[in-house]
Amino acid sequence: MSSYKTVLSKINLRDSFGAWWENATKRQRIIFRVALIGLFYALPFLDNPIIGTPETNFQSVLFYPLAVFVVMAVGLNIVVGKSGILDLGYVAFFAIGAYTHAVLGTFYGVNLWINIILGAAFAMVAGVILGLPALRLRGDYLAIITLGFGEIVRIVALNLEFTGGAAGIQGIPAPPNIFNVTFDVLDPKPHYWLMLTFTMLVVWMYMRLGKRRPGRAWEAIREDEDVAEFMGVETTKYKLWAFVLGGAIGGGAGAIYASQVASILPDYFTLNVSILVLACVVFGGMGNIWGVIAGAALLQYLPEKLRFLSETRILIFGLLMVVMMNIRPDGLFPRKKREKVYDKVTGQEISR
Amino acid sequence: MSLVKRSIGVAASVAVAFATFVAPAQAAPAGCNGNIKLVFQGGLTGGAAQTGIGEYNGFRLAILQYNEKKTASQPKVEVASIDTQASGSQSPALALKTVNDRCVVGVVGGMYSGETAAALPYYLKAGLPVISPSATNPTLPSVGGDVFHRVVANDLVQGPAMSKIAKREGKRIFVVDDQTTYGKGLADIIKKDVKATLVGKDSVTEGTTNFSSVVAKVKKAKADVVVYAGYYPEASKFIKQLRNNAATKNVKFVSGDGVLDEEYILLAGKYANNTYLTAPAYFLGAADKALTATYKKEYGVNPRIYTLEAYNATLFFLEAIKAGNTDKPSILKFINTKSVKGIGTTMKFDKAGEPSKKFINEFTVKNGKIAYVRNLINR
Amino acid sequence: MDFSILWSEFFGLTLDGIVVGAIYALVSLGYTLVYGVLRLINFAHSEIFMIGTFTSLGLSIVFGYTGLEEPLGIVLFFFVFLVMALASGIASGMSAVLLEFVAYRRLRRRGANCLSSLISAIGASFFLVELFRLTTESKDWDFPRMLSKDPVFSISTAYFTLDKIIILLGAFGLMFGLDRIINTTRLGRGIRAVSQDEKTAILMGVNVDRVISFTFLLGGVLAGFASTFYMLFYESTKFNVGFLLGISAFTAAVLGGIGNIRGALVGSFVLGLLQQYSSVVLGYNWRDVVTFVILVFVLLFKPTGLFGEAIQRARV
Repeated sequence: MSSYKTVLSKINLRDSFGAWWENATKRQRIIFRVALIGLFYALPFLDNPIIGTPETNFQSVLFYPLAVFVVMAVGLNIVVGKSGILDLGYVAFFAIGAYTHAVLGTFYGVNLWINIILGAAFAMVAGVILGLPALRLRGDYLAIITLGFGEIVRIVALNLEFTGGAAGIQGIPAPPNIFNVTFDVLDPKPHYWLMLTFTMLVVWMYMRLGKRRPGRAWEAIREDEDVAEFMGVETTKYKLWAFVLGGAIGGGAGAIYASQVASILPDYFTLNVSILVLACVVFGGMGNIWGVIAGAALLQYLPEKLRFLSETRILIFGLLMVVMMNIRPDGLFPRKKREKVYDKVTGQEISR
Repeated sequence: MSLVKRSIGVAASVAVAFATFVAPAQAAPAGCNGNIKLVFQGGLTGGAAQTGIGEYNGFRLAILQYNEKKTASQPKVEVASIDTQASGSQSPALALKTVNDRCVVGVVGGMYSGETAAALPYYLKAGLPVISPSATNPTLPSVGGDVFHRVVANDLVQGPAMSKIAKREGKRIFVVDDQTTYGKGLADIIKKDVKATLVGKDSVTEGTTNFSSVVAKVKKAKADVVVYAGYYPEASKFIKQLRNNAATKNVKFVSGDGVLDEEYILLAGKYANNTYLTAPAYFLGAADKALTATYKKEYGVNPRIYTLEAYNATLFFLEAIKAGNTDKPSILKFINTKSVKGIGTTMKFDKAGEPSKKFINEFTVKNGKIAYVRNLINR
Repeated sequence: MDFSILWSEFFGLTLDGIVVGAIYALVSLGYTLVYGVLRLINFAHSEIFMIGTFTSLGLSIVFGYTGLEEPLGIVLFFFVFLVMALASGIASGMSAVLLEFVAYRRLRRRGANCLSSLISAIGASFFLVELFRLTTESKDWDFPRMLSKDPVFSISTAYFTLDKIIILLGAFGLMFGLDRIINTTRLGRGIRAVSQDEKTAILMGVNVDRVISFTFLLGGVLAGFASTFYMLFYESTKFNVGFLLGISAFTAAVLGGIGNIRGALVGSFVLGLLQQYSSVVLGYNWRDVVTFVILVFVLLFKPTGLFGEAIQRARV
């Protein structure tokens, strides 16, 4: 039993990468960033038998589920991973964003760019309405409330004429051409790039907030909310921030999603989706945004790549969640624990 | 870093770079390198699988016979299918996959209106011709445009047929729908049609098992006819609960093609007897005994509702291919202009993709078997 | 919104509400008991119930009753029903114990926070749902009509059919039995002790592991019996039958005050009645929204439920 633990502890990509990053010059860092971003943008063109997906079109997979789940995982990470608020109804924000664009775009001719902002805005409003009363509660109660909320949103969308009922909304418009790039139902590339840009904006915003007061407040809340409150952190305000921000990200992603698939049904926004996003965050590494991105990408890519996995996908995800919680609850790429550890004998600081 | 580590790092980077940058050059296929394919879209697993498999077998049989009897110069047609589980949620990804397969020249499907509607935008964009054997919602041509066709009359025809039966059998009509694209569409048409005699309405969702509140409403409205617009899993439970309630046990039960399947009888047992069912379809078993025997031999089961329609729809594609059309535009043109003789009927499509000949048949269940009663509409 | 049907059908709806509530009660006890001892919401309890339904279904197939034309004789029926109920009880009970061992025990030993336990619970739930979805072809499975559903007697619009009577009597009997177990047996006392204060219970010599396994067993067995009652009443099951029923049962437990047994019972009947009444007034399609709204509102405004128990102290 102990042997695999020692082996696993030796593979610490984060720290070895971190070591390189510390020593890299500014130029090296910029080159690295540019190369990585360039690689992500070039992905749709890199379809080949080695990394391609056999059953479904690779470019389509890149958009959904990969990009969509990655950005949702980033959003949920702010809520669950960084702040420790267990949200089981995250799909509700995604649905709100999607229906915003579906309804306003199809019936009132509002274009996607405005709808992304509106979708995020409506999701934020929903986040406030739900969050203000709910965030007072403790962990598992909050989880159940969010689950209830997610289902309420779905069932309401299912029953209202306004949202198309069980038949959903068809013929959702895509944005008009920009820079000679056509946004088309059949060609997922432009939407993929759009989602990628959106994701990068979100990650950039997260990095800025994460290092400053909000980020530290969130971590404090996650570690021990009562102590944080005692130490002067305005827990209610920051919890709401996290919740609402996560919701905004989900809403924006939903609008872009609706634009790409051109028709949405309430069936697309089930509890399953919330759980899948949660699995990505849990698996990837709670609180570690790179881990979450990698985890989400891996979890969504592998079932597409390996045929036998894709049919039993949810089965394996369920099993994975149980196994991960029992064996490696911090995820595949655990976040860096910012603790100072002192050697007991010499009193020297050991960084961990 | 040590030399060993460095060289490993370099080797790894080169391998990755090769995989991602060089390999694509070899991978891109231009046209179809293989046989042309026809794809069946429907529910092959899930609650409606029985109907789906029945249609799929009809589809396969037609292609099998074509491949056996074709001349050397005619191309072989491959059988393919996508399993939407009869639900719209799977359709987009599957439709996209179908569209990106360059060997696919036509789609027979979808099976239900909801999953068809979700897939049509993709087929329309790609110019992929579609002939559905059983999707009856009237809005489908507007979603599918030029590429959508069906061999069955739509609900604008079936609805009035059902209301005809309802008005014939009773004076107080209660309409229930399941809020699906199909069910709601059909129910709306019927409700308009029976307006004067409509005493109540209600909606349930797919997957409902407890109809007691609906039964209570039916009883309150003192209805003598209940029309259910939906599919057989729910209908079978509904009829059982209606018959179990003393107040409603003698109401007449009218339903449409979504319920007409042997599975309905299996699930509802003896309560299915003497219910009234309509469908814009006919049974292969009655229409062509020789073909039915071949079907039984090939697949080991009896043909079901819509097997005949699926067979005919596939036949249309095969006739187009026989006439020398092997790409999507020319097949689409053939379908839009020509007429083809199928089993029991001659098929031609009008501008909207609706069949030029429309008929609705009335069926009932006698002693646990589906029995044809009469033809209600034939134009 | 049509209230007239509510009045005219009041007795019938009430009877149905109580019958459904009885089934909910048996399942909600599982949630409440586990929450009492572990402070954990056993998300997978709904699948424990589902396993019971398929056990009963499987037995009906084994006995050759599929497609049964006529109901069985009364004596034979009781015998068969008892066998099915016991089998389902055992199957669900054992599944529950196994679930605890696989998904929760290690986390509990480690003192993991409730987030991890909840996620593990969710993972287990999804695993079981998918497992059954794949093995049962995602379709409805019907239960044969083994008992005639003609009313034995009726009070106004309430038709007392034999199956409803059996369910009411059976459920009350089981609840009474549970009360006896909790209050008189040793393990029952252990449950109460661990619910009140785990650390002190350990100090007093209670074998916590065994108590917890027993709690899961109890909840599972009750859910198993409930599942047979469910099959008798609804006559069909599907791989996802657990979800809505579980949410209803959980809402009932929360409504009554989670951790509180008497609360779970009252909450179940109240919820059962509310569901029946609202589905006539608002329309059947809004019924599930009503359940979720009740759940959300109770948790938001009175999380300790109708009986107002403190969250920390669970009265058993």
